[in-house]
Amino acid sequence: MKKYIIKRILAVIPILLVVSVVIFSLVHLTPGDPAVAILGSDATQEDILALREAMGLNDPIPVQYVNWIVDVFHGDLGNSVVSNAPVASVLKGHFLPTINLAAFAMIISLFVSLPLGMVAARKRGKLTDQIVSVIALCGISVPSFLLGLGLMMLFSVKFRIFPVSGYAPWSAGAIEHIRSLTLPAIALGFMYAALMMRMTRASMLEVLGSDYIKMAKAKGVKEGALIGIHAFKNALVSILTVIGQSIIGALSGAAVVETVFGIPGLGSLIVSSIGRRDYEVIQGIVLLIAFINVFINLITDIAYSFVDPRIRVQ
Amino acid sequence: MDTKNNLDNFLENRSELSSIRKKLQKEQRQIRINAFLKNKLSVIGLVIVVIMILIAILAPMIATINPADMDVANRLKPPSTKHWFGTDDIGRDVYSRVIYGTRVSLFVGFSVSLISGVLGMIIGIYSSYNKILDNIFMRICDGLKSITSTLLAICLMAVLGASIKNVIISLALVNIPNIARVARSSAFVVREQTYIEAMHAIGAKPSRILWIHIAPNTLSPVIVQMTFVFASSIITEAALSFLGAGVPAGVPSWGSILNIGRSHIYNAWWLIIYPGLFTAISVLGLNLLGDGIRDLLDPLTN
Amino acid sequence: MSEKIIELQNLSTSFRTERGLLKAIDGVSFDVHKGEILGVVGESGCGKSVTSQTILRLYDEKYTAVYEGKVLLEGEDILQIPYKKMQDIRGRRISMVFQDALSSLNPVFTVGYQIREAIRIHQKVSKKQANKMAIEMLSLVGIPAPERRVKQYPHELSGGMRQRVMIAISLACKPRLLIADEPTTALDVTIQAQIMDLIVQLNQQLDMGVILITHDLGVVAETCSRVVVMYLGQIVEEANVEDIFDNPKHPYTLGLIQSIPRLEGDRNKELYTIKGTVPLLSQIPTGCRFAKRCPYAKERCNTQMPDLIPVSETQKVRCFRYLEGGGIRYA
Repeated sequence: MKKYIIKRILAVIPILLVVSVVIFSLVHLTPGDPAVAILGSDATQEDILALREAMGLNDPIPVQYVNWIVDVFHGDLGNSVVSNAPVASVLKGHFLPTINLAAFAMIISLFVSLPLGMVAARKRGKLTDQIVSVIALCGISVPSFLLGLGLMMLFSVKFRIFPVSGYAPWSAGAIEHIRSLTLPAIALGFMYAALMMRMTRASMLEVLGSDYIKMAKAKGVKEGALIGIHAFKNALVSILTVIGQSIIGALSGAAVVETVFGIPGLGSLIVSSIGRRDYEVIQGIVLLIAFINVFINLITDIAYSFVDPRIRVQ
Repeated sequence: MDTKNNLDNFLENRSELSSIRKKLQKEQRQIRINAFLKNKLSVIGLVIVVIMILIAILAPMIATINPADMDVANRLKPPSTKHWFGTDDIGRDVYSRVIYGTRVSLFVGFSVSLISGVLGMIIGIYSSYNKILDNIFMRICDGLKSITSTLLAICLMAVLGASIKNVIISLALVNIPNIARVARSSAFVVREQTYIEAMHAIGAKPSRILWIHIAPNTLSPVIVQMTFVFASSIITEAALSFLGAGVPAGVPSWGSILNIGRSHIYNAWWLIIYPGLFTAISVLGLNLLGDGIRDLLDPLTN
Repeated sequence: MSEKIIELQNLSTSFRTERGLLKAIDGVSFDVHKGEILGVVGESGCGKSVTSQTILRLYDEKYTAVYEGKVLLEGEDILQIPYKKMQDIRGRRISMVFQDALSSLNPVFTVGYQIREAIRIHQKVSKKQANKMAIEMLSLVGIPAPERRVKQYPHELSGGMRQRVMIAISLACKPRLLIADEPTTALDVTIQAQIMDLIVQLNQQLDMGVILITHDLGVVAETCSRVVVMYLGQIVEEANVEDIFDNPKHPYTLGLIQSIPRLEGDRNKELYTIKGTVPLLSQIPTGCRFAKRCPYAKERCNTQMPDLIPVSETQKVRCFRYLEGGGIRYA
């Protein structure tokens, strides 16, 4: 068990390396001079040269990479080329709304999808199953921003139950906070709920048909424990995979939903930074989210080993 | 004498067997096609996709007004006999823009799934064969998985700048690992099979085994994956254009119409409903078709 | 004679399929007494497993299976009791051992958990006590170092060990009847013998009835006292084990016996096989179900179904040839 966890943790290192290289090269190896891009095409030659020097763009690329990584380890993600504020502090200001939104979306979709997926598997081929399948199909076919717009038209514009846009932090009161995040969370979570529903149904079906379920039944295990304990723990490995992927997807998918609902999170920051060509901020956000994702993957991997003893051996 | 009889019997049985097998295969194919047609959802998916393709091809005939024509006097007008889906904030005809938007969406989706399908398959099959390449490839995949395709696409678009070509390049890059994984894992499965081992044993060239025997077997899962890439590319293109980071401003696209709709959500529902419906229905169609093809090619997963 | 534990009366099980109801077993009747091992023999698809799972009502009764006839467990018809009540019977009064222990044990729970669960479903005991009982059960089925084994997972055990664990689970509540459905098919020959010995030993020790389902007549000869031979959902012959081997009355029984490979005698002789294959359930012939493959089949066999007729106190057979006085002999 310990060995497995250590191995998993060590496996994170090359992934982090790849992530940082990809993000670095995205910004630095692209055609065009970042200095020109920042200053605009009508800047003077001296200004451009000065900025190149200041940004360290005259160093060889590997040196630039190493410098950047060393800075990152010191918590220095560079400065915004637009506002000149440190990227780290800019990110800090936009971090919480995104995390709250993603967490809210995940909670809603977990509570909806797991029970529905299990019921659908139990009532395979019956009306309940078909309804669940149709909901799931809609979920993966309606993009989150579209669902967000639809919800907004219905609940904010027509019925005026929820605010059209804006974000109320915790400090503004729990009810306001939840009210401001409800529609965005549903919009963001629906697709992942659909994916989890499908996966729960499929893996429960697979497990329910297995010999050990028949054996447990022959032992006298009651229906509830049969599904809730014997089947669920076995299905959990594949369900965990989807949950991990969904959290990751929700974190990055927040970009679009935040823009729809005007939530000042990392997502809307990245979109506005694209317009301002603020590469340092973009780079910082992507790096931050990617690192969080690596961490989530690690936790999922470790969680597997608690659920399925066979994984520990490998 | 006896041996000869046995041999004759054997050969006769063998040819009989192979003809039976052929018949069985044909029958099975027929059964699967019947199952596909019987599965109403897949047929609905197929019909939707065909209609969308027709709309895209025939856009100039179906559209009523040049999608770029502005009529500022008639801006943000609700649907009418002249403007079936109303007009947008600078008086362009939403119906024609949605119709032309179908072209953009399908073109992007098709190009992305084709490019990432071909390149992904080549990479996937090669890495199933070469251990070093495989290791590098898997690490890159893990890394990209953490960056996520949405963010990667947004970044690429930020760097490359808004254009249809760049949307295709970004989305293809993002989806290559996806397809490569599928090709790689099914290549692994085929590789473990006895007949491939037997071919190695009789000294067939590895490259021959790889491309003549293993590659075709990875085709069906790759095709299934390609339809899902098609669908997700339509979603991502619409999302990118919605964010203003997809196709350039003037090009009619579902996402950019929705973007305008977001700003006028209080008074111009038609700017959201129509492009929204087109997006959702075509994605639904592709997903249904993808499910259908998967069941058709691989009945075991059902 | 000792008391009857279970008695099947004219038991039939049909499955709902797209093409309508398919009868998997048809009018099966037999009984098992205390301390007795009854062998149920037949090729795959003959309905022996369906019979055993019907006794425990393991099929989904709402959508899949339809039962007819009676299953009398110590005099009570358990096909008639509410489905929920079956949970008290399963594992406590009737237990089952399945073919493949690897897939029948839940991979994500420890061996100890799975035995304790079986105990605690039916008996009000503390977790600690249940654990003690689980360890006792493991040593009863001959597993060394049971204190250590209870903490292990199924994948950490060998095949024979897993099968012993499964037997321990089934016997945890000292059932009146044990159904062993091909308990040794997935095992090595030497392990097979050990497991069979264990079943025989426990059968005597615990004084329970055992239904041993198998396609291996060798196993039957060594362990069973009575044998039921099934073909295509019907019993074709029932007799004491001596009569089955020395004096078989049904051509199918004879065919099965002749297909056993032997060490003595002419080794160059080809092994006897029964011609043809078992027909599909959807294509059951109208007459005698074995007629198509029977070397003695006549006109009548193809059109009329023979009944299962007692030929002596202990033997029954379903064959016109015997009733008409014709004998059968080894090929």
